[in-house]
This record gives sequence, C-alpha cells and structure tokens, in this order.
Amino acid sequence: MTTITLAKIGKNTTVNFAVDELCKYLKMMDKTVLIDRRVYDEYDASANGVIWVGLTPMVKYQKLDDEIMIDVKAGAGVITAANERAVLIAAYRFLRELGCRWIRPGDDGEIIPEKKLEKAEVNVSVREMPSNRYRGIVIEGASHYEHIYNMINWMPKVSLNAYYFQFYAGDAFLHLWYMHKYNPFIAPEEYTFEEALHTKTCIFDDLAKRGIIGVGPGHGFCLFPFGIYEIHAEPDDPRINDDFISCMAEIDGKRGLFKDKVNFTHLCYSNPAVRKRMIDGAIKYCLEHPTIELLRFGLADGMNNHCECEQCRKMRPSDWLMMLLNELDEALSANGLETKVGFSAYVDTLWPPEHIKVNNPDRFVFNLSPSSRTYSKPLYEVDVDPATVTLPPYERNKLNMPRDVETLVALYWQWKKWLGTKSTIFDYQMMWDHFLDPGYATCAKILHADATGLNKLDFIGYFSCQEQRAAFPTCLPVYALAAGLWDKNSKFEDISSDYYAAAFGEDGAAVEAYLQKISDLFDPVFMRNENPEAHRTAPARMDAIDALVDEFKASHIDVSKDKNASWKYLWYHADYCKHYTELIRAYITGDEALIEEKTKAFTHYHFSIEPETHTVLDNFQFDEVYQRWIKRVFANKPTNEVDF
Amino acid sequence: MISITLAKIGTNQTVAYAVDELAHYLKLIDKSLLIDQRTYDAYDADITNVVWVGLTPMVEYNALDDEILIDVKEGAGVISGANERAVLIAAYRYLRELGIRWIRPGDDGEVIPKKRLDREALTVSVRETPSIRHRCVCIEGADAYEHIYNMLRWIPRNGMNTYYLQILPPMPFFNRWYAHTHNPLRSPEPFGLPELNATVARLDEEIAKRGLLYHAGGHGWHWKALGFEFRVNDPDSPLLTPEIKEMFAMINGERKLDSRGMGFTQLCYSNPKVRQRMADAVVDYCKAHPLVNYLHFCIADGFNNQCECEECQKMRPADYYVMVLNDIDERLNKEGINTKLSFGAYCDLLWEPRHEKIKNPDRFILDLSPISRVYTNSYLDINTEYNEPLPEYVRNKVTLPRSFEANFAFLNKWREGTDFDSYVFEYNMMWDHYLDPGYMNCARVLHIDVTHIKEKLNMNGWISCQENRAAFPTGLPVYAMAKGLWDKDSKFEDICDEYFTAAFGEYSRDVQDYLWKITELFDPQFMRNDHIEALPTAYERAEKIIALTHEFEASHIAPNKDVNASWMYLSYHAEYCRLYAEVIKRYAKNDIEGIKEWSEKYNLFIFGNEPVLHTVHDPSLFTEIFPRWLKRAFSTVVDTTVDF
Repeated sequence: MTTITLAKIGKNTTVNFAVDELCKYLKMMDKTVLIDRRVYDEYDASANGVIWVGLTPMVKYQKLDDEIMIDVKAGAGVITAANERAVLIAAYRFLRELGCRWIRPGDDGEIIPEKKLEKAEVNVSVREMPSNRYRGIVIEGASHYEHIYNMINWMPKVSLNAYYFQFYAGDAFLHLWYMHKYNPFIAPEEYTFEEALHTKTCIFDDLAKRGIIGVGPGHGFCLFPFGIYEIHAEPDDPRINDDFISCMAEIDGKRGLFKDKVNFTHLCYSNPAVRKRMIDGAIKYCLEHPTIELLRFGLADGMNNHCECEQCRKMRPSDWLMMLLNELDEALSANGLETKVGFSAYVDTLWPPEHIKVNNPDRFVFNLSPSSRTYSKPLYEVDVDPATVTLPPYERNKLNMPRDVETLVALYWQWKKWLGTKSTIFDYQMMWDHFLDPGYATCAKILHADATGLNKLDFIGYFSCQEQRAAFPTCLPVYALAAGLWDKNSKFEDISSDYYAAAFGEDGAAVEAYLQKISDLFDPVFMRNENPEAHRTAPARMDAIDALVDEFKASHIDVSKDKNASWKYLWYHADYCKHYTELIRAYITGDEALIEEKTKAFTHYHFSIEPETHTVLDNFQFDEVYQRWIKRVFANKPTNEVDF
Repeated sequence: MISITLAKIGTNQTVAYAVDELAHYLKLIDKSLLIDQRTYDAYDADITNVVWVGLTPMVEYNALDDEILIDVKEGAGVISGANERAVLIAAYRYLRELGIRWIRPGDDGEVIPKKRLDREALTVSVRETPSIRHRCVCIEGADAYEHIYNMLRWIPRNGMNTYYLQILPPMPFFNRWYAHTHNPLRSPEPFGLPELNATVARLDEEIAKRGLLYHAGGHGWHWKALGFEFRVNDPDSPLLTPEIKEMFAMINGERKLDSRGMGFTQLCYSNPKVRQRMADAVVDYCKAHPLVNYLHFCIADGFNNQCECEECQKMRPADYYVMVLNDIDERLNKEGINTKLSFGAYCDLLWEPRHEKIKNPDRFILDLSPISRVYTNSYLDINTEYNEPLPEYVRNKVTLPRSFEANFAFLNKWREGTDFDSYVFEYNMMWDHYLDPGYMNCARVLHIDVTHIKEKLNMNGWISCQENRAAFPTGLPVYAMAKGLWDKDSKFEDICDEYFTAAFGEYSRDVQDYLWKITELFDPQFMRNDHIEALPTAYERAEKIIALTHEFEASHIAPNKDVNASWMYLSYHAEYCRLYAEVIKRYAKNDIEGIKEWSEKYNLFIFGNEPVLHTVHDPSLFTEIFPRWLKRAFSTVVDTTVDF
C-alpha cells in the first residue's frame, strides 16, 4: 500500500486547493493510494518523506512570473513555485507528468490514467519559467456560468494564468446564453443585469480560489461615471441624460450616442472634468474588485467615432488616452493600489500618440488588439519588413483598418518605441475565425505558431478573446495555445500527437490525419475570403469532405462513439461537417431559397444537439458566422471592414 | 437540458461548501444538468427561480440545534438551516431525498443514482429538527489522516454534526497506525509530534470547512499540568524530578508513577498549585485553539488510584474536580473565551461532589461514560424505576457498577438541581462490535440506544467512541446510529432496507438474511461471555458459519463481487468469518496449538488484506484483546471485571 504525504505550507487558499487537487487526482489514478495530509507553517528542509506543496526558499517569490519547480523522488520532495498560483500550476504539471491530461474544459475533458502508483515510480523533476508572463483567456460568446466555470477550472491545469472578465458584470455574454437567440427549441429565459452581478461574484470567487490573475473590465469606463454598468442601454434610457450627452464625443457637430449604441459612444477626452469622472469610476472599480490585478482601461468600442471638438482635434485619441492613463496612475498611487493597468492599441488608437508619454511605465501593460488581422498566417510571419511599411495616415474618423500583418506590426512597433512598456496581445482567432476551419487542425497550428512567436515581437503575454466553448471537434487549438504560451520551444506536432493520443487512444494518429484533411478540404484561407481561386474547386472539395466523413465514420467513429466524450463529439461533428458542406453547396448555387433551407437545417441541427455539445460548441457565435461571414465569401468581395 | 440555479447566501465557508457539494453531486446524478451559481448578501423572497442555500429568516438561528428546512419545488426554493452546519446537513439531506446514499466513510461508500433529473424530480420538502443535539463520532483505534478525513466527510452527509479528537495530544491513534504495532507485514513509519501537529492542523481545516462542532481534550490535562506533552511512563525518567513527584497522588504513603504509567497516575488535587497548573493548561489551550467548541476536561484514567493525603481525604475527588472546573470557568470568563467544558462522571468521579458546586452551568456539558456496560441489552432495557441504594464512596476501594442503571443513578446525583447540557460517551463500536461479525445485532442495539437517549436518560447527546474504520462487512451500525440520532422515531427495519438496497440492490433481502444468520451463529452474547449456555454449541455453530459462507459465496457473492465495493467487502468478509470460525472451533476444543495456528492465519488474513480493507476494517484494538476475549468467551464463569 503506497502512502503519499502531502505537506501543505501555510494556509493560502490557492495552495490549499493545489493540495486538494493533488489528492483528488492521485486517488483517481490509484484509489488504493493512502494520502496523508499535513499543514506546516513553513517549509522544513529536514523533514523528508513528504511532498512539500507551497512556497519555499527554493524558488524566489515573484508575483507575476510563474516559475515552477517539481523535485519529487520516490514519492517525496517538493512541488513549489514563485507564487501561489504557480504552485497550483506546478501541482497540475506534476499530475500531467504522471499521465493526467485535461484535453478540454469540463469534466469530460479529464483523462486520468488508472494505474498503481508505486512510490519508487513517483519521480518528477521539472524546473521551468514560462515563456510568457500573461497567458490569458477572455470571456466571449454565449456563456452560462457553468461554461465559464469549466474554463476557469481548466486554465491552470494547462498552465494558463489570467482571465479577462470583460465589462462590469459580463452580462452581455451571460445574457446571450439565456436569450437562446437562433435556438428554435428553447424560449428565451429572463436574465437580468442584477442576476449577472451575483453570478459574477461566484466567478470572481472561482478565480480567487485558483489565484488566477483577474483582468477587467475593458470597455465601460465611458459609462460607469453615468451610472451605466450594463454594456447595452437603450437610447431612451433615462441615464442617458443631458449631463451624459454633454460629455459625449462631438461628431458632425453634435454630441450624442454613436449609432444609438451606448457602448460605441466615446467621450470628449479633452474635457478635464470628463477625464476626472472616468478616473473616479476606475478607482471605484479597483476598490470594489480586489481580484482584478490587471485593470484593462478601455474606451468605447467601435471605430471612426472619436470626438471632433476643437480641443480633441489637437491630439490623436492615443494622446488623450495617455493623458487619462497618467491621471489614473496618480489616482491609483494616491489610493495605495498596486493594480497594473492595461490599455490597447485598438481601432483608432492603433495609431500611436505623438505628444504624451506615460510617466510611470512600470504601472502599465500595453496591448495590441489586431482585430482586423488575418489568421491565414502567424502574426510574426511578415512578408515585408515592418520598418519599410508606409503607414496609413491618421485621419480622424476616416480610418480604414489595416488587415495586413505588416502594417499592424509597424504600428505596434511605433507604439513600443513611444512607450517603453511591456506589451501583450489580445487576439481573436478563437472568436469567429475558428469556425472557418471545422477540422480545427490548421487553426490550431496557426494559434500555436502565434503563441510561440510572441517573443519575436517582444510580447510578454497573450489574451485569447474567445468563446469559452471552443472544443468541437477537439480542443486542440486552445490546448496548443496554452502549451505554446508556456514553452516557446514546444513543437506543434508533439502537442498534437499527445493530444490525439489522450483523446482517441490508439486511433489518435488516424483522427489527427482525418481532421487535418477536413481542415484542408474546407480550406480556411478560402473560407475567410482570401483565396478566390479556391471557388473553382469548392464543389469537389465539399464532395470529398462528405466522402471522407462517411468513410471515417464507418471505419472509426461509429465503432468508438460510446468509448468516451471525445469520440462522442467526433460523432456529432461528422454530421455537422455534412450540414456545413450542404450549406456551402447551396451558396455555390446562389439559390437564395436553397441557402435559406440549408441554413435553417444547419441551425436546427446545431441546436438539436446542444444538450450533448453545449460545453464544447458555442452555437450563438457560429450562427453569427455562417449568417454573415460565409455570405461574404460567396459575395466574393474582399473587405477591409472589421467585423464586430 | 435542465438548468438549476444555486443562490448562495453570504460568504460563509460552510455554506459555500454546501453549494459546492450540491453542484458536485447533482452533476454526478445527471451530468447533463446545467448548474448556475450566484452569491447574494441576503435571502430575497422576491427571487423565486433559484434554490437559495444558506441562512434565511425562515429558520430561526440556533448555534447548536440543527433544524433544517428544504422547500424546493421543481428546482427552485430554499435549502436552509438553523446554522451554517445545518445548511450543509440540509444540502446533503436534499441529495439523499434525490436518491444518493453515503453508506460508509470513504469514496467507495457513495451510491449515486444516475438518472435524468427533470424539474419534478427536483422537488423536495423537509422541515425537521434532529432528535438529539450532539451527534458525534470520537477518534479511536488506529488512524491515518485519510481515515479521519473519510469520517469527517461522512458525518454531515448522514446528519451527524460533531467530531471529537480526543486525548492530549491525540497521538495514540496515529501511533497505532504508523507504528503498525500488530501488523507483521509492515515496518513502523516515523510519526512524531511535529507530524501529529501538522496532521491535526489539516484536520482542523476540514472540521472548520464543515462547521462541525469540534470536541478535543479528554485525558491528558494532568500531564500537561506537569509540563509534559506526552505521558512519561518510565518511573526512572530524569524528567520526574522531586518537584514533579510532589504533585503526584499519594498512595500507600508514596507519591510515585502508577505502575500502568502516567495515564493512570492521579495528581494531588487538593494541592492549589496542581489545580492552578491544570487551569493554566486549559486556558492556554483554549487561547491557542479557538476552533475547539467543547474541551473535555478529565483527570487521569483508571480507578482506585486517588490521592490519599490528608487534604485530599477531606473531600471526594469530585469535589476537587469541581474546584478545578470552577477555576477554569472563571479564568475563561476573564479571557472572554466561550469554549464549553465537558466534565465526566467516570470511575471515582461517578460519586458526585458533596461540598463543591458548579457555579456556571452554561459553561459545562455533562458526560456519562458507561464503560463497564454490557451490550447484550440496549437502552430500551434500562429500568427507569431503578432505586437500589448506591454504594458509598470509599477512597481507593470502589467497585465500578456494571449495570447501566447504577451508572445512570450516579449521573443523576450530579444533575440534581442543575440542568446541564449532556451526552453519553459510548463504546458500542470500539470493541464489542467485533464480537458480532455479521454486524446486524450490534447495529440493532446501537439504533435502539440512540433512539432512547432522551426517553430513557433525559440526555441530549451521543459520542460514539469508536474505530473510525468500522464498516466490515457493512457500515450499517454507524449508518443506523446516525439515522437514529437524527430521528428517534426511525425504524431499524426501514434503515436496513434502505441500506442494503443501496449497497446490494435487488439482493438486499438475501444479504440481510445472510448477515443475520452470521450474527446469530456467532452469537454476540456468547462471545461477550454473557451467555455461557451457548458454549456447548459453539463448535457446531462455527461449522455452520463455514458452510453458510461457502454457500452464500457461491450463490451470491462470487457472481457480484466486482459489481461494487460493498460486494467486494462481503467477499473478503466470507473468508474472514471462516477464519474467525476456525479459531472458535479450536477454542471450543481447547486445542492450544490449533488456536495458535488459526489465530496466526486469521491475523495474516487481516493484515495481508489491509491494502484493500483498511478503510473499513480496523483490527488494531481487537488484535490486542482477541485472545483474551475469546478465552473469556469460553470460560464457564461470567467475568464481571471492567475491562480497560
């Protein structure tokens, strides 16, 4: 009978959770193993025979950089790290070294090998520093609490460490779930902003338990001063009063809502009183949300919607943003808050400042949000030296967003040169674009390449703005993202084969090849309207997909579909692919009635399987994609419009 | 797809744990269920589409009496209790109403029905107050951390509410496990005071997490008063300085260590310095252990070992005992500490005080420990009309009463004129249960006992001093105990049906009949030397046991032994019974060599299978007494000595 003694150091909640998790999964691996648990005030090098779990002098404390150290020989030693969150990451890493895998968020993503844990065989030695400081997921899509919980619960298991809870209450995402938009089978459910606030409390507790770096809220600081915490408010909302309107951006000589959208409405940032109210709102937010360690200070959403008043015109929006940030830094310091502040080069603020610099660079984390980029190649793979790119001029409210990577990178370098701060990237591949690659093989490769190439562009972190449910047919993209963010030297092929082996056992390689073919045949470059030539081969490719799916389903999926959840999802995915090809064929014909029929059939299929697939497939966003994006492919009109 | 929203009220950790457990087990019943979670500061009657979990105005707060309220209709309503622990108990009760059973401590005791939960199935209505206030398990036997952890988890799941970590420090129990004293197959493992303290620190966390009432202390204050952490049992130890010895009880003119060691060495309680040091020890302990709700204050163990010095002779031991209790109470009041103190009518202290009186009854809880009781009869058999004259107290010449009535009459002398909170400290599951290998009669007696505590004794608590691993072949005794403590009107037969159906499904009746036959053939009354008339049939009954187990093994156990852990244990139990019966056969024939040979086989079986059986079977104490008790069983004279 093997006894493993877990010696917790101190009483920190996250370290406690790390020990709980070690205990849970070790028992799942070998239910005969006897787990002893102890609590010590501090590490004691003279006490051996136990596995110490917690902070030790062996790893220097660092709040943000998650260095881990595992030195366990014959079931005794140490699992330690630079901070409590990293201890949890180290605990999961220890379990991964013993064979556990968490291949997607949710309980059915756990692959726990059942085996005898002989003490002599419990040997793990790892000492690593992650390649990137911030390894984050951002809430998007239609999300029930459980979907968010699944993601938060999964993140440290694959070494991700930051969660960006967008908006004050995340109500937009929660609301999307409860509305069941497009779902013909479920009536909308009532879900209020107040309910979202109470769900948020649980989400923040889940983050705190794991020590995950809380990030938020992003957009909203234009609204908080006026008592608006929801991300949507109707134009006739009484809070949109004269006081608020007087603070709004002036466009075409008039101050008011931009396109009737409160969250797309900038303020008049040259007005000191407006800035003061925004800063006060930010301080209040920080005080109310101690879990938020990285405050994302976002202006309004949208583009070409900045104030045109005489004062505002004197500087670029980025300069006014710098002014706001310096004032925020002073206010945070005055309140004794060490909260870091993130801000973005995003749409109009892609164009860097010309006049104002940040006074305290250590406070800030600059962020690039390349919402207009293509995912046909990794961000760092530039065809032209960005230094030679002629930048498009900044023209207030008349901007075209650059879609090419080179221009985006050139703008980013200009920002970097101006600021001298660390920077992260906020990217969207798993928001919409992944739906254009139903095999998930190619998009996983690009995502991993982006993650491992971050240092080439001097990024120290990545925030994946994405559906929380993006694991259909597999979760390889986000799994590979996590692996790449941890280790820039990781090889995609190794990650991929490890993933498929965990999910599909001895058929791993066959499934890997199958899904790569699905990816290739759909051709994501074509699907994102960047390869008009591929129109010619589209009908044949769709037929080939159908044939491939039929063949693989018969040979592999049907016989394995009850083995585990991965096979189950692959089984549903087979029909999903065939519905998808039907839709594309309809588009090829250009027959509107047929398109409508196939769209409807696809929608029905989607939502009919939702009870079985809701943890891995976000139907809301996909419906958005094939309602608009696929139409765009067959309109064959390349566009520079940013799609949000 | 059903969504259920759990609305946690407040941030109390026990309520949070109740919500976690609800979410965990609801998902285990129906993995398709979507669980939403929210946190509210207070209950809001206007919100009716959630399950409120926590304290509400619907149940009046009571720190001790665990009233529960469950009013859930179609997945919405309230799960509440009179205190946070009761909320957790209510949560588990809700799950039990949905079909879950926890039939023994440990993961393999969970019986979770897998089923679709529609809204109708989520309807539960319960409003109950437990029949008995203090529903406690006390540590005994040989224990690793995990064994106690298993018990702590099990306690609230079955409506119990208290754990008693007895003795200062509670080393003997851990030492029995880690030293593997009687196990010929394992070497001792190191386990000293630092390891014990670190283990207890972890157990403290588990107790606090569940809001359990926490009892500690017991024997040990006298050696703490002398400045020792442990018993000093070597009479020649240099630690026993003349100053220390001066505080020992004087017996036959000498102040020295009792021949059985310090545990049995009384002090000279008339000595103010002794009393002062005992009070100091208690107050210091309370300050350092704020989690402990009830501190047991005992003097040394044993009887007829009281001090005979001139001062001590002036009053009964109980008078000096009360003097110390009043001193402690006064000191605790000054410190603002509200820890309750438990005191006992035990051994020489059975004889009530004649001169001193408890000044502050609210501080105290009275303990009756009928250690000399025989378990052939239950509390139902207590003669409440008992009015035999009680023997006078004669210092160091007392005979402890064996009848419960006499014990109880002594207790009532203590209670005259004062309404103390109270409990019985009982030993059914400490030694005696091993004399009933079918566990049926001991379960029945235990259930009768606990359902008659109030009616027969007018007491309000039960502390089961027991092996924490006592579920071989089933957990029925402790399960029935928990049920009876909660509901004095519960029926043993119903509990049996519920238990055996959960454990053995359609074979419930067959297994019950089989185990009853095992019980009857072993004849616990005979085994405890209380039915010498059965001596002539012992051999034949042992033969029948062997035949019966073979027969039932072939017909029922073998085909089912891989179905679940209950069947697996029953499989080992059949062989256990056969070996036990073989030993009995040798005793019946007075075959000394055979006794030795088969006792060794029996021991080897027990310890050889410890890796499989350790969570349900604790052979440590029984191994110590096995030869002595069996020898006694085959004696033709009823032995009336009190055995401890």
